[in-house]
Amino acid sequence: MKITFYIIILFTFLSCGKSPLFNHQDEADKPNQNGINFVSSMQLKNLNKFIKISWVNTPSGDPSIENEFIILVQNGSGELVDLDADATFSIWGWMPSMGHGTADDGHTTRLSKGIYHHRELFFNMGGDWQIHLDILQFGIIIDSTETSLSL
Amino acid sequence: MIGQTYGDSEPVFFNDNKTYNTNTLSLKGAYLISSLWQFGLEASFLSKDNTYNSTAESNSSLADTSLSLTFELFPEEYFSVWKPRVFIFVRQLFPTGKSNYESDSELLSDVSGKGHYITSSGLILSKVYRSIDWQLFFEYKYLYKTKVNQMEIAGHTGFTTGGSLGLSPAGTNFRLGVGITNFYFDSKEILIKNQKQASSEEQYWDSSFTVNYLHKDSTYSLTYTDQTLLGPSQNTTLSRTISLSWLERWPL
Repeated sequence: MKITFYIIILFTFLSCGKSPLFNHQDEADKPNQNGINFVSSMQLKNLNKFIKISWVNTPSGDPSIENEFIILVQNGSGELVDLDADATFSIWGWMPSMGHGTADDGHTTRLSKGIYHHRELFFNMGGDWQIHLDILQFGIIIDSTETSLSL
Repeated sequence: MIGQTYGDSEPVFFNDNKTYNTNTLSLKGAYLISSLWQFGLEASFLSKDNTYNSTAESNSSLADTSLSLTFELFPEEYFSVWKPRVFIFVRQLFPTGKSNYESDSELLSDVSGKGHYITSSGLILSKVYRSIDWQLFFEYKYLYKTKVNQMEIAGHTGFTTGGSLGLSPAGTNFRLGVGITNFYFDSKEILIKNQKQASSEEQYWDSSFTVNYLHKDSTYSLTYTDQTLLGPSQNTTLSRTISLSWLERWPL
């Protein structure tokens, strides 16, 4: 009897981490990006260009809501510049903690010189995401950068 | 499923606009090859209904399938108050389910497996003394490297550790049991688009409460399992499960 008792006590103590039941947030209370249309700035080191992305609406982890952002490509002087000829964006989202991607990564179109529109990006849940911006030329990644997002 | 724990952050319980329900039909069989050796198999079929605001999905699919071989290392050959029977086992899991690497549904409702071949081995200590029974178990798992949809997921390991305690009230065919099981999986490295990504470790605890009823060669069980009672939890979903099982024994 004693050994059984001690074994149960041992397991109870071994499990003394934070109980999710008493240490959780309700999803509605979780802070969101509330910054209206926030901007992320990144650098393409190989191409010596700078990128700013500006979300059209507050990004959402709700898979029924489309996320979209405007990409500005600038040179060192701050002038808008296009990507090199034959270069395209390949943009993909990744949830590093869980190790999976988005419901749909969407697609990018050029609006005008140095201005691109990425749309139809759908996340499949809230949490911490990375947005990877790869620059492809002839199918090869010639430069890449990334930004983080907490939904 | 009532919530999730992302990475190292605190658990988040879903709001009313999100419901994730899974019905599982499991078929488990075991054959006693000799007095010390037992062969087993397990297959499950999942049916999921997930809703998040205006998005609703239903999917049914086969889950992962496993075969196992168990050997009774220390049988109970004489009376002892404390000395348990000891079993060792090996188990091979086949990824017959669909993993979240392969999912093409928005709410991951088509996910029904881990996506890896998994070889595991472990130890079970089991003792029945008068109206009390207890069990301790440990399982080491190796998840083999796999390639899915231009992703390469490196091999990694996992552990399952647990115990249970049961009481059979005198003069009845009932047993009341409680159990705790810890599931842990190492961080895994994923190569995607020539970039290496490392996921967080995965960990959760099952707390279970069971009522068993023995009738002739049949055992009927009602179990409530809660993943929100004990922690820590990390990089996992959190569920509450009610299961009914019927176990039948017969000679071949």
